[in-house]
Parts: sequence; structure tokens; C-alpha cells
Amino acid sequence: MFDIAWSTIKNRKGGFIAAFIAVICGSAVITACGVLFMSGVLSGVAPERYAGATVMVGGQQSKEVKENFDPHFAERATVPASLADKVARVDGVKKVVGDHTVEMALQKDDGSARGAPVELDHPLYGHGWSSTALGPFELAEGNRPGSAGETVLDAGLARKAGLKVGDTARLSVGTTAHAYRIVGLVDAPNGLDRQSAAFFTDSRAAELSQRPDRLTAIGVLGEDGADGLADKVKEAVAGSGGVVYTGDDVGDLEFLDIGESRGFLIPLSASFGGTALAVVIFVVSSTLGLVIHQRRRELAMLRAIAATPRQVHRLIGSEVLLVGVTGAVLGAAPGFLVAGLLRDAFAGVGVLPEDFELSFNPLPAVAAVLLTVLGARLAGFIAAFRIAKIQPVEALSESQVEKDELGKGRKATGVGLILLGLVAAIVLPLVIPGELAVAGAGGALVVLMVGSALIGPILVRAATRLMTPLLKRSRVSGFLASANSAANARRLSSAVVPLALGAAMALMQLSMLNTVETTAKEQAATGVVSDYVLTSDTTGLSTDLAEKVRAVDGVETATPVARSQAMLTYIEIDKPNTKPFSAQGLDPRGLDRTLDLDVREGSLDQLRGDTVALSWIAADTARLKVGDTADMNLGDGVSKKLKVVAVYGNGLGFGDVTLPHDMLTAHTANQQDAALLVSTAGGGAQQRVGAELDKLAAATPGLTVQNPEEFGAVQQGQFAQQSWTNLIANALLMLYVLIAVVNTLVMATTGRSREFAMLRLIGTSKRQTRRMMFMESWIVVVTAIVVGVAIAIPPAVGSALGLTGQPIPHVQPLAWGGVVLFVALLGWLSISLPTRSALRGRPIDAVYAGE
Amino acid sequence: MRLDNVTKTYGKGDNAVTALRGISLEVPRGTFTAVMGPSGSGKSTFLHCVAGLDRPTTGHVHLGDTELSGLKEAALTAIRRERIGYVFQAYNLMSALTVKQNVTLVARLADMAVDEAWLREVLARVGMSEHVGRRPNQLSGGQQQRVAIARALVTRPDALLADEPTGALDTRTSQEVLGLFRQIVDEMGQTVLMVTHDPVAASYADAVLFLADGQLAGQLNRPTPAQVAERMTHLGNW
Repeated sequence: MFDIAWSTIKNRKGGFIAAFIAVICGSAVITACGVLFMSGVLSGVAPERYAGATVMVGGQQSKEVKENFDPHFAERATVPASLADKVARVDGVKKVVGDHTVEMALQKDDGSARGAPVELDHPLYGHGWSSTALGPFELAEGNRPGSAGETVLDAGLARKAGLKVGDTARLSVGTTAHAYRIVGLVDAPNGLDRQSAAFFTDSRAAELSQRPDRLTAIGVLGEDGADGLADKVKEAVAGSGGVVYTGDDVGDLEFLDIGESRGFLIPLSASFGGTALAVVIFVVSSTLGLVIHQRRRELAMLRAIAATPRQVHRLIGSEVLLVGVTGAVLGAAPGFLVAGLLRDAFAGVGVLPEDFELSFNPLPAVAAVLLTVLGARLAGFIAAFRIAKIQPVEALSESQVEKDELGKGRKATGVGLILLGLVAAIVLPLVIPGELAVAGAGGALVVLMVGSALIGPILVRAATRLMTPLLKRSRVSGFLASANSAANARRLSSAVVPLALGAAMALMQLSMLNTVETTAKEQAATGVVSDYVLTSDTTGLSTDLAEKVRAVDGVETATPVARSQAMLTYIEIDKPNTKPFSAQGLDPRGLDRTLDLDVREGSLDQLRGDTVALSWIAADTARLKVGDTADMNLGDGVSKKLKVVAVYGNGLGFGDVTLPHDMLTAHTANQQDAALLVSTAGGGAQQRVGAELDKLAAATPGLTVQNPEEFGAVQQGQFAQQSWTNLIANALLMLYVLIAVVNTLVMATTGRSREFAMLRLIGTSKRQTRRMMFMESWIVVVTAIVVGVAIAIPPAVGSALGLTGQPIPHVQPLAWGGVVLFVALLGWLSISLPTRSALRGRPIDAVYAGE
Repeated sequence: MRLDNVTKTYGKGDNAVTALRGISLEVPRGTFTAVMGPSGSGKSTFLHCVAGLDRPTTGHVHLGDTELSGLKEAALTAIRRERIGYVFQAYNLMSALTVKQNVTLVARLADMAVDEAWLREVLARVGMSEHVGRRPNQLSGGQQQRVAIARALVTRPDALLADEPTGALDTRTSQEVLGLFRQIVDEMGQTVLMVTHDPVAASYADAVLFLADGQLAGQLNRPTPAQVAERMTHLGNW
């Protein structure tokens, strides 16, 4: 069977090249997803400060979720300081070091109280001197810090900042700065590539961390020849919440962003890979469908003389297998490049660390080849199904002209799917709001797409009928175009479907992005009702700043806003699910003067102790009402049962979870505020307070005074990042659909060269033929755009309902116009260019060429 | 080859179209029979029923000892492969395959060994020995039809059925193809049943059966083209 298949492929290069290109691109996309997935699983960064430790003990940094990816905690999970003593008693341990890590900023003395900030490429962390044993760091110059006012810098940092032993360095935690005398410089054994370090006396480091009772990590140095130390330590820390790290994993403990990248990459690449595979099957089967359509006569003849349906399947299957395997193998190599591009794009947006390295190994390529070939085989089966099933006589007669009517089953399925899609898109968000509804609305797009693909020919015919009066104005070309389209609705529909799919995906994505961004912006703009907003351009605001500001004359309310992330665990349908939400910590005192969260139920006054307020999206997602108990994990993973005291509307602008301020900050690494909202007593107080705040800012490192409007813009950044991530992932799919569109249209047009030749021989001019095709391309483009817009709207409305509670998606006319224009241009070019090329030769040659 | 009271109705109820109304006849082994009739007389349906491509609504079709009307699709496919050779008006060949590959296609699909000597003889008889490596688009219409006949013959079928085999050919090429049919009946003892509307083509046959409105409307033995044409003119009023 393979030799027949091979001859067929060689003989019908044009048709198969389209499927071939589709498979190559599909394989590349799936390989790229595989590489990202593997990188999420495998890649890591070598430890720097902990490089010399035998074993490290740190906190549990992710939540274990059954049958799903374990979500990572946003903040560092710390361990109790008392655990260090327990570890020290383990047999074979030479030394135990408790490490306090404090994020800091460096200013140089410029005579002002604020100091001149030193821009560093990497974060700067302060530690206790004893932790140098874990590097081990070598003292390059000077001495160890002997008192609270002394520090030792890593040599690289000192060089960068232009500081030397004997100088004074101003190091700040949040907005609190201290001057330290530099008494020495240290070198790390392998250098510090991802961080800078400053060392203090152990007691000073503990003090700076504000949590002397908690440790970032515990380092263990083993005695020479001590075997199985890791297991023994594991035994010792069992039940305490401590996790033992050895070897390459130590890098994950030292650099939380690596673990976070994994938590980001693994679910993203898995879901994206799955979608890509579905699109590959869809595109390849529609491309193959066209090839098979073009040779149905031949296949009908085969059935009539001798072939069983199974043999027709086998023949087409063999062709697909040849095309599939070759294409999949060829596509795998560029897939690694695509993965690299995606990495760069994600790093550019900031969701991956700049130095995140992909781990390249052949496994993703092997998996992609297998999946793509399987997908193509399935696509071939779908495409061959009809031609193989029908009776040979039917095949013979049917092959002459297109069968007019679609099968009843097909029509019913198509209409059924469209109805189902509408229900999923619009009714679902009304019945079960929350995140599930938004996801459902997205999925509805695919259902709607498949449904319209099934009844595509009917849609094309309807569109043709509507456009015929317009077309008839041109007596020759228009007449031919409308007759062709009406008679070959099926062929036209296979060109319309991918074009509509591309348009719908793009429009739906744009609308969701836009709705989220616009709503968040609106909420942030209307929600901040204070007169001033204080923020920091370093790590954050120290929590004591609020008291300082409250003491300023004329200040009525100062509301500190801390930010972090919190996880909500709830029963979704029938099994527990855990989802991270952005969280803010608020002090409810005088809140109505500074922040309007649009409280719908309950009251934020109650927000103290073990309580929480939720946005309505979060509340609906977890099915919680005021008075219920929420099962939450705070930023560092600590589990809490919190009573819901309020449900509010402005979740997109401010975060979906609002916790009492002190509870939230206690479970963040920096224990700082993101902003301080300041309202004044009114009257002349506003100017006076403004001047006072400016004075404060001049004396405080990193502090900036903003208007509430400017603060809104800051909020934007976080949403933009998430939206960009989606856009990058989907852009790749869009590109793939695009290739499929061009493929299909070019192939459909090229397949008609004999018809063009015949038209020319009976006296149609080249110009008339071109005009005819131009009009046909309009039928294709207009139908595709109408269908695309029509099926993009219900999911857009549904997701708007789910996200904002309003059924009106935000539409950027310019962006939608751009998409429509692009689709039109693409469809038109893919038809008109091959038409030109098909018309180039002598018509008489084309008529006698081949079948 | 024998048909007993075969009827064929398409569709149901008011839309029902009856293509064959109670046809009974026998085609003797080793003869060349032509079936003629105006358009819509049911001659294609008749041929499809004989070939097992279509099932009669009532009645029986026998090929030798085998009753076709009761067989399942897979068994019918096997019959078509092994015992019937079929030549269409056009599009007989797979454009991707060479002449030789096309001729041996059925054997390949049936997973049978190809009798090389017989293959050479068949190709020689249809006069295509020189062109075994060519592809259909390098052949003339007459040559393509001869390849199709070779493919139909190579399995040594009980009967060779041809549906308007000269419909797409010019007069001269038609004569060559019809002569070839005559030759394989006379020299190889092959049974040939041909549907045509061309009186000249029909005159090559031993017997001509006339179909009109789904019924047998007479028979001519050893006819001349003029006799056939004469009969056809009257069929319209029959």
C-alpha cells in the first residue's frame, strides 16, 4: 500500500504540500510546548550562596494538589528557627547555619537624607555572617562584621557601586535606611550571577528580617564521610513543614523565581500543547479533506473495481502516514527554535527570569513526532470517512457534481453544537459565575467553531444567495462567481472555515484582553478615592511609614495597602481545586475615605482577626457567601480558615482577596506595603499635606508621592503581564491557523486551473476570469468574517459576564477593524495570487494536463 | 450470467423512481453482448446490478453459480475483484500510477500474486507492451482505455463489463477498442457485456439487447449498424 501512497503523493505534490506544511508547523509547535514543559520539569540554576552546603532545609514551597499541577506559593515559605537545633542534633552534622535573607536596596551618600539609589542588575540580599560558610565565601579583604553598624559586601557589588573597604554604604529595607561601614569584601566560590550580597552580624541580620523566629533556610555542613545525611535530616525535620534539598534542587531553594517559572511553564505548556494538538488535527483534516475531495473520482473508481472501504482507509492512511512522519520529523528541529523564541518572549514580558535556560533534550521531539503523526492519522481517518463509507455507485455519481444536501446527521450535529456553544458561552456565566464560567466561554468558541464548520456549506450558500444581487451587476464574472459558489459550497466552505477560525480566535482574545484591562483600569481609577498615593521604587514601603504619615498635620486617613497572593481551595463540581488569586492587605480604619472596593455584601469594617473579603468573582468561583469559611493559603503557604466578611466588586482593579493588613504582611517575605493611600481633612489641608509629604519623600529612600490617577497606571502593569502571556501563547496558534488558511485557499485555487483553462478556451478573457475569482474571494472573505465575528461575540459576551458581571465586552474598534482587514487581505491574496499564476500558461496545455 | 425478474427502485413514496422493471435474461458464456437504449432507459443501473455495484430491489442476479443479490459488501467487493472486469467511460486509471502498476492494481488490492506471463500476454494483446512505464497523462484516450481493458482482463474474470467504453473516444480510436473487445471474445473466449448508445459500437456484438423505460424491448443477433440504428429510432415510440 505504501508504494501506491508514495506514487500518489509524488504525483499530487500540490495537494499534499499543504498538508505537509500543516504537519511541519504543527510538529514544531508541539515540540516547542514539549521543550517548555521539560524545561519546567528539569531546568534549574546552580546554587551560589548555598553551593557549599551538604544539605539544605527550607519550607514547603508549593501546595500539593491531587491529580493536578502543584501551585507554587508566591512568597518564601520560611521554617521556624527552632528547627535548626533539631537538625544540629542529627548524627554526622558538623555545622548548622540558619540563614536570614532580607531584600535590600543600596544608596550612595550624596549629602541628602534620601541618598542616590544605585541601580543593580540583580536583587541585593542581606544575610548573617555565619551563612558565608555555606558558599563558602572567602574573605578577600578586611574583616568580618564585628558590630551592628558594620557590613561586608560581595566584591562584585562593591566594584559595581564604586565602594571600597572603609567607605560608608547606605542599605535600606523598604523605606528604612541605615548607614553601615564597609569592613570587608568577600568572594563567592563560583561568583554571584543572579544576586548581590551584603553580610551583617547574625543578630543584625535577624533584626533586619523582622522575624528572628523564622529562617529563610537552614544550611547543613556534614562531617567528612558522613553517609546518608540527607535521609537522616529528612527524618529529623519530618512533620515540621521543613523540606530537604540536595544537589541541583538547592538552586530552587535559593532562587524562588526558578520554582515559580516551573509553576508557570508546566501548566501553560501542557494546556497549550493540548490545544495545539487539537488545532493540528482540525487543520490537517480540513486540508486533507480538500485533497481527497479533489480525487474522489479516482477513489470512487478504486472502490468500484476492487477496493474495500478498509483499503481506501488504508491507502489514505498510508499517504497520511508518509506525509505525517516526514513532516513531523522535519518540524521537530525548528520546534526547538520556536521554544527559544517563546522563552525570549516570556522573558521579555517578565514572566520568566532573564537568565532562564531551556533544557534541550530529544524527548519533546520524539513525543511531538508521535503525537503529530497520531493526530494526522486521526485527521486522515476523519477526512477519508465519507469517501470510504459510501457505496461505489454513489461514489461514481456523486463524484461528478457535488451532492447538494448535507447529511441529516451532520446538519443536526452542527446545529446542536452551535446551540451547545451558545449555552456554554452565555447561559453558563449567568448560572455559575466565576472563573469556571470564563473558561467555559473560551471553550465555547471551539464548540461554536466545529458546529459552524459542520454546517459550513449551508452558511456559504446563504451568503452567496445574499450577495448574488450585488454580484449579478457584473454580467459575466459576477454571474460565474455566484454560480460557482452556489454549486461548490462545500469546497468554498473548507476555505471559509479556517479563515473564520483565525478571525474568531483573534477577536475573542482581543475582546477578553480588552475587557479585563479596561475594567481593571476603570476600577482602579474610580476605586482610589484618596488625595495622595505614596509608593516606593525600591522593594516597598516599610510598615512604620503609615504611622509617620498619620502624624502629619491635616492627614485624616492613611491606608496601607500590602500586596501578595493567596490561594483559595474549594470544591469544583466534585473535587477539590486550588487557585491562586491576587491579594491585598488593608487596614479598615477610615477605609471609605481612601478606597472604594464597591462592597456588595457585608462590610469591610469587620476585616480584622481571621477574616477575609472576596471579590465576587473569587466568591462565586469558590461558592462562598458572607459568613462562610474560606479555606486559604497565604503568600508563604500558611494555611488558614478565614471567615468571609464582605464581597466586593472591584476585584480586577485591586485583587480578588482582601485580608487584614497585618495578617497579609506577616506572611510576605519583605513585610512591606505596596502603597499608602492618604486622604486629607479637606479645605486648605490638601496643599499643606502635599508639601509635607514631598518633604518626607525627600528624606526617605525610594519614596514617591503620586496622584491617584498615576497609581491606576501601576495596577495596569500586572494585568498587562498576564494578558501578554496569553497573547504570546495564542499568537503562535494564530500563526499556525494562518498558515493553514493560506494553504487551503492556495490549494483550492490551484486545483481549478483546468476550469480556468476551459473558461478561457470558450472565450472568457483573463481579466474576466480574474474578476470572477476576485468576486469569489469576496464571498469567501465576507462569509468568513461574518461567521468569525458571529461566533466570537457569544464567548466575548460570556467572558465579559464572567469577569465584570456586565454583558458588554469592551471592543476596540481599531483592533477589530485591523483583524477584519487582515483576514480580508489574507483571504484575497491567497486566492488572487494563485489565480494569476494558474492563468499564466497556455490554456490548451492546462486542459490536457492530467486528469 | 443470468437475471431473474430484476427490478430496481430509487427513493421512496412519491419520489420513487423505478429504473428497472422486471428484467429477466441470460448472457451466454463466451459471447459479446451489447445493451442499448435511450438515455434514462435504465442501462447503467442494469450494468451496476450485474456488476454487484448496486443491489436490485427485487429479483436475483446470478454470476455463474453465485447469487449476487444476497451478498454482503465485502463479498461483493471480492466478486468484483476476482470475477468481474469493469471498464468505465473515463477516469479508469489512477493518475499517479504507471501503466503496469495500474494493470496490476486489482491483484495488489486483493493481495494476489501477479501471473507475469499472463500479464505480458494481456499487455501484448491490448498493444501496450511498449508503454508499461508511462503514466496515464502521457497516453492518448484510446491508449488509456486499452490499459483499462488490460486491467479488467488480467484477473481472468468470468465477465468483462463495459459502461460506454467508447463514449469519450473518436471514431477511429473507438474502432480499435471495439475490435479489441471482439478479439478477446473470439480468441480468448471471454464474456463481454457492454452498455452503449452508439449503433456502430453495438454492431460489433454477437447480440444487442434493447432497453426502454426499464424493460427489455427486444433483441437483435449479429446486427449491422443500420439495423441497430433503425431499431433505436423506433424505440422512442415503443
